[in-house]
Amino acid sequence: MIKPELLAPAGSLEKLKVAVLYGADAVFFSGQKYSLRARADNFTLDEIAEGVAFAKRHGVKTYITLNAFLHDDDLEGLGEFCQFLDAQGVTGVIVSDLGVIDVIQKSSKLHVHLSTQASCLNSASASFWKSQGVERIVLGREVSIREAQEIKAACGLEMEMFTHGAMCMAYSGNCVISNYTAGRDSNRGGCIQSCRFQYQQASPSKGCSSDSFFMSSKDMSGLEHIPEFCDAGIDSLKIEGRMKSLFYVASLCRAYRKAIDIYAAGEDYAAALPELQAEVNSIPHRDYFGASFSKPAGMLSVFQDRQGTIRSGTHQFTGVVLEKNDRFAAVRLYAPMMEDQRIEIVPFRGEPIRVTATQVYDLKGNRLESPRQDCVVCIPLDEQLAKVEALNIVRAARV
Amino acid sequence: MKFTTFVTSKEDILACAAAPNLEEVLLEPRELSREGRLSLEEAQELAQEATRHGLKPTLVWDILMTETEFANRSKLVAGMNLDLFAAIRTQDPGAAMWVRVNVPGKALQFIVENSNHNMPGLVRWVSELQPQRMVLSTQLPEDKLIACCKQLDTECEILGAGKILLFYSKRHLLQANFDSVEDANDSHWIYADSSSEESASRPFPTIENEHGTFMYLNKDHFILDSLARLDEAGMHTVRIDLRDLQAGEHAATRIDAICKMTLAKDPELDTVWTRPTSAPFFKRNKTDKQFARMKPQTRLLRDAKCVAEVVSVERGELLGLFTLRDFDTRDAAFKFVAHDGSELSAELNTFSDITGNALTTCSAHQVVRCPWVKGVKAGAILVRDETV
Repeated sequence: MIKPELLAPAGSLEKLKVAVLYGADAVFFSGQKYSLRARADNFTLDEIAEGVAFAKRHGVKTYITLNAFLHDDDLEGLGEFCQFLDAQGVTGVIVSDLGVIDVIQKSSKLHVHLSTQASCLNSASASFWKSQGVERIVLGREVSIREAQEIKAACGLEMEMFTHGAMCMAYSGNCVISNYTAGRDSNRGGCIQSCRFQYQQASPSKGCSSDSFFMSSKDMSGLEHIPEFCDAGIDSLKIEGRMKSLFYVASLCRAYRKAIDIYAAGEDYAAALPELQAEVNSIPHRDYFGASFSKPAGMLSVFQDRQGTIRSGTHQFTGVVLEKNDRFAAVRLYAPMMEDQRIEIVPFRGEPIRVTATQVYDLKGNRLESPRQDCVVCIPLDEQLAKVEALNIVRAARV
Repeated sequence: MKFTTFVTSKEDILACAAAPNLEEVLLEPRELSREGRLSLEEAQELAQEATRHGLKPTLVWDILMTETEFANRSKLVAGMNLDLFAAIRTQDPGAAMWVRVNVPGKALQFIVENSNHNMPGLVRWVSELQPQRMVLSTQLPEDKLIACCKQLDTECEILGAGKILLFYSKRHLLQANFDSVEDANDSHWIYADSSSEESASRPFPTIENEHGTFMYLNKDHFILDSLARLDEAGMHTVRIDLRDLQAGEHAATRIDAICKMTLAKDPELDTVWTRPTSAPFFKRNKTDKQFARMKPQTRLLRDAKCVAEVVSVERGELLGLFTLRDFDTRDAAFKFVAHDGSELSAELNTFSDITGNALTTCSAHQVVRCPWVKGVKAGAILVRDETV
């Protein structure tokens, strides 16, 4: 049994800090180019430097995604960027494209991890990538835990598996619908998520038709499988979602941190599971399923619903603590608050602090009854709230 | 320039034998190929038949495989008489490695169709796998294909005419809606046309078989009338995929006529192709041009000059800023930059913390107040204005 690394998404500097503080062992993020999330905020060079320094101070590893499949023109500046990353002390880079690997190896000493986008699914493929200097494989999401164990045994590389989040329905890197229908390269960050559309289907020979979301995958959740991941010696468990909210990052880091620690400590995992599942159910999500962790994903893995009807989660994301001084906690609100609303301030460790927000002030010092979203409010500190820290997540208490 | 095509019958082989510049045929066993319909025995029999007619048979092993599947499929391949085949074609690097290790002398054709669009990568694939041929991407424009032909130390192949694969999933996605088989001889296959709400006028042919689900563009790739420059550059092989062009058990009907018309630059060539055609990236690939517009203009300005983000707007009274770094409020002029990149200069000389204490220096990660500035919205950033 090994205790796997918990690897969290960081779509922005703020999300990076939240992931680190809520228990991630490592974070992955990207610069403004070379990655697969063209619409994400992503990091400027200054932010990369700050993010890496912050992570290092907390003993957390940093992986930069360079996982787009690049055309020749896109390679411009990549070598210099890799030298910059090397100088910052980035732990490694996540790459799909052999040409990108070539540039990285010629310009830096960065550790190379193979992205899931390369759809490495078997030990022979892993051996090829090992021969190219890859040190870790982020396996395709079609691979089971048992197979991952076999691949690791056969090739001796570190194995990383996605354990939570949205899934490509296709083999990663093998969907180019966006390229041909929207003129946006899905393998360079332009995916328009055609798999989430509703499709009308007709069988030419049978004359029957159907409306369905037949390509829309449910979200994977590996919480139940943490013991198997650990026992199989999987080195890193990755949470998907650089485009997701601070709430998502915080809640999943909390849940999976606890899960890994509980199992590694030899505690009763089955007994802890309901509470852990409650945590991952607190955030908006599609229905969960067990990916291909123990058996190949079947028909029940399809999310036959509109994207707009994603489960809202048991708790609403209310805001994040931006600052705490000796009198107030300043909270940036992402949702409006009701008068005397019950809120929970979620600490980095331990139980949420549940309070009724009876006194909430705007930045002018005026008392507010029902603050709107997209503003900052000040909540006076009392004995209970004294434990609040900057970057704690605030959520509406479950009714 | 030579042609290659898929075959499923002896009649196909006869047509291929009669086709000019066609010296190779592609054989797809159903256990190994995405769209394979042949049994392993049939593939081997047809390989012998092709050889008898002076054609080189290539075994197509182009599925992607998880570890368990790979173990099973590679056993099947090992059990075949691979001497019957002149080459093996793979997409999965694991399959390519298996060929290299287990049949070291066998010619390898390696598919890099949906990715691998840069020269350093292609050069390295060639260097590492030593393939007989690289099957290149239809997303590479003509100029890049020409560069590949000139720079890659191996044969290059491109799809000249045929289906464009958009989507390949391991999951079986049609059987939930079309749960009965099409006919007794086609038990693993389900066909449907799939039109999304975004592309209602474009039904995409979709197939499910034992390997998963495949979706294709509603138009076929077609460059048979534009091969002159590629030919001149040394493009070795052009693939003509007739598998679904006509109904029936044969996959290469009229291949001889199409090859002749292509070589003769017959203006009637496109009329023999019964499906709509397109070659969207052959002249230019612009699939990254929209990216710059997808990102807020403020992102790239979040550098050392960016000191704060607007997090709260109390209209007519004040702005709440969240500081991103330490700065002295007295030593610089400032401007706000909105999401769309528009700038608004501001004379800001009064900053205070959340308890109302005046600030001359602001620390990073602090909420500070400053006077309201008309037009500034939450999400704008405050940057040092070095033009002042």
